[in-house]
Amino acid sequence: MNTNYYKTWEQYKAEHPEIDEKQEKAMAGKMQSYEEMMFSFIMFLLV
Amino acid sequence: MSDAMALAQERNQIFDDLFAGRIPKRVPVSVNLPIEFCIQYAGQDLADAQWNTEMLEEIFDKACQDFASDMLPVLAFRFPSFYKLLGAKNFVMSSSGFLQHPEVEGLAREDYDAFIASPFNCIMEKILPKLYTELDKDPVTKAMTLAKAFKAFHDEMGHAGMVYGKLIQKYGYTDVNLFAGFCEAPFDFVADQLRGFKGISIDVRRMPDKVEAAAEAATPLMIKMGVPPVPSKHASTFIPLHMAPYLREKDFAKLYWPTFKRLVEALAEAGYPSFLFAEQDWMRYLDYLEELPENTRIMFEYGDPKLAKEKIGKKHIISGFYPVSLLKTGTKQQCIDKAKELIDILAPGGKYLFNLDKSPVTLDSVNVENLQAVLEYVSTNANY
Repeated sequence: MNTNYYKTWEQYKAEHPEIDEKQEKAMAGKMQSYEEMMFSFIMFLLV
Repeated sequence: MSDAMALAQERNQIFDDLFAGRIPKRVPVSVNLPIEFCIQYAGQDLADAQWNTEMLEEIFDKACQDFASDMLPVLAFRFPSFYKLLGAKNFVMSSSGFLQHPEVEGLAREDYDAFIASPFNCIMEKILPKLYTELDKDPVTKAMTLAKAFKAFHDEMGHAGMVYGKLIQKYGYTDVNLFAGFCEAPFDFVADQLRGFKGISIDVRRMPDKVEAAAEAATPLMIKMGVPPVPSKHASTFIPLHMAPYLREKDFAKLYWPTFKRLVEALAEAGYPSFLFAEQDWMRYLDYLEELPENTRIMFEYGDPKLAKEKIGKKHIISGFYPVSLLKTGTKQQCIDKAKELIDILAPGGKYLFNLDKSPVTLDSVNVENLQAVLEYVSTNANY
């Protein structure tokens, strides 16, 4: 998606080089789920 | 096995057959009673119960007790808390406690290009602040407001989901959920809260290329919104269809249909059927609907049920057509006769789910005894 306000995990990770492989495994799913929840909430406000 | 579990198993089988194109044991019955109807039926105050949602379980339970349905018959998803926190202009509670949806314009005509270039940027930067006054403030206030509203949204939805789960278990409803996802036809998304009915009606004539490009730009957002994380044939994405009956067919064919069709196809490819509510009269578009993926679930408001059955009844799953207005004005026998008439037309060959042509918004939209009689009649007599 061409936007400044929604990031895939890959985009987020690229901005946070401090995240190592072990951390990534533990956190990626949860971090992306919050991104998805906020997207769904924002879109809900317009339907 | 408890009675409720046995009932749920039987109902799930009926829906499995319906969705697979097999003839089920009987015509499945669904009715959608909105929160306002349920609150009034339970004798509670509209504003009080919509704000204090811990009252909902008892309120919905009463509706489940008294209205026959194979599917959970109650639904609420617009709660005043998060709309009020955000300063919504698009959903406003009236003094009587109804959440009204006034005509709004979230997207100014001169902002079409910004929306086409990046719809989500435009939503965040221009549209939300126009529709939600508390998001049109300084950055800190905006951040605090959004956090509060997001929390309220998840609290309300989470609580409602828990109540639904308890009622489904208690009454042995099918686990089928026709409202598991929610999105709009891309054209309707641009029309409803972005340009408004008046604005889009002018734009279709004066700047159709911008409208077409905006619907194109909105399509990936609608697909993303409509595809849930876990696909299931027992769930659907609900897509209420609004503007098509108000368009000329040539405008429909160019501006509405292509992106809408792509949306429904994308959801189907993701393993997720659409549940379309064809609001107003869609009879002149039946040939278009026939092109949608097989077993698309379509609820009709007005039109000719015979024509719909003939043109798309072998391919798609039809519901609706039962006039809520008759439940207000007719005698009990007239109401039951109407149900018989629709079952005779729509049930042969399967692919038919009984429900009304729209939700009865308020308690006085219907004579409650008529509604109960019709649901009871169909539940017990519409056997194959």
